[in-house]
Amino acid sequence: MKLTDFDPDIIAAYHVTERDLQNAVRYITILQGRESQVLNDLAAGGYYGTSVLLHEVVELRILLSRDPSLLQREYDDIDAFLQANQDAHVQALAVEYDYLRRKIALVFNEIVGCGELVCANASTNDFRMLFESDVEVPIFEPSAAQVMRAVELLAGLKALGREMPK
Amino acid sequence: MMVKYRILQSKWPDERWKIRGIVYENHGKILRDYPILYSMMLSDPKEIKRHFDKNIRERQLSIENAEEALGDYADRYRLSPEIYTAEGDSFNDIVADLEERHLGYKRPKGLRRELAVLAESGQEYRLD
Repeated sequence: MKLTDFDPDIIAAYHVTERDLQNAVRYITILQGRESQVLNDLAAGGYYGTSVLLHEVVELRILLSRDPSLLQREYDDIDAFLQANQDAHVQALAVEYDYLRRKIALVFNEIVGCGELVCANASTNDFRMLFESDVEVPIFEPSAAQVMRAVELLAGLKALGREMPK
Repeated sequence: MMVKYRILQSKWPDERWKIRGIVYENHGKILRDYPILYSMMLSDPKEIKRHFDKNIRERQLSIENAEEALGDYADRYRLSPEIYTAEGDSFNDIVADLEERHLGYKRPKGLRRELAVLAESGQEYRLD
């Protein structure tokens, strides 16, 4: 994996470094193992991979600002620390889904809501966390049809692989 | 208000069963297509959570047959056979209390919410 696999606009805007990428891979591997689906999605690069990278970079930067040695710790400690700092995860969700919305609008010329994207790509658990948080993000409860459409759009975005149409 | 709930455990990454979440009746105002909801540790894979979501919504599972939500992951997750009852002033309060008690975290109070309370109280407040 290298930074050129990802959306250069995000790499520049967030000043993402090779160290950030290495940290993200290490963090995911510790928490979910080497066979993690998130790791596969990250490795695929492109717009979808960038959304994964963005989430992990935002979350990790917040966590590491509170515990710089976090990634030297064991699974149980990192797991508990993330749980105790769930605002980092919520901030990461907000940034990730705003990015996905914008890329779907760009590529497919279709407006899709954060709510359906979160339910389609993450879970009701994450939807509730974001919905009930004070993070400034427009989020509404989606219908089943909206979630289904979001699933199709996300599949389309993944299918692009590393192709990133402007 | 009363809410029935069960404890969710997982034996990943090792073979020790550990509490990873709670599953409870949905008495809230959102996600009404889901008769039960869950709060799980953030690091548990989202594809597993989506699998639970799909099973809960499609099968309209109740707290009594909530183990059906585990589906393909029943070898890694299990639910307590016991069904517990929690009481509180509101659904959100009950869930927040259960999360704190079983998952070990307290929801951070949002700044805007605190400011709103201050505003309603008539006290002076500043953003800094």
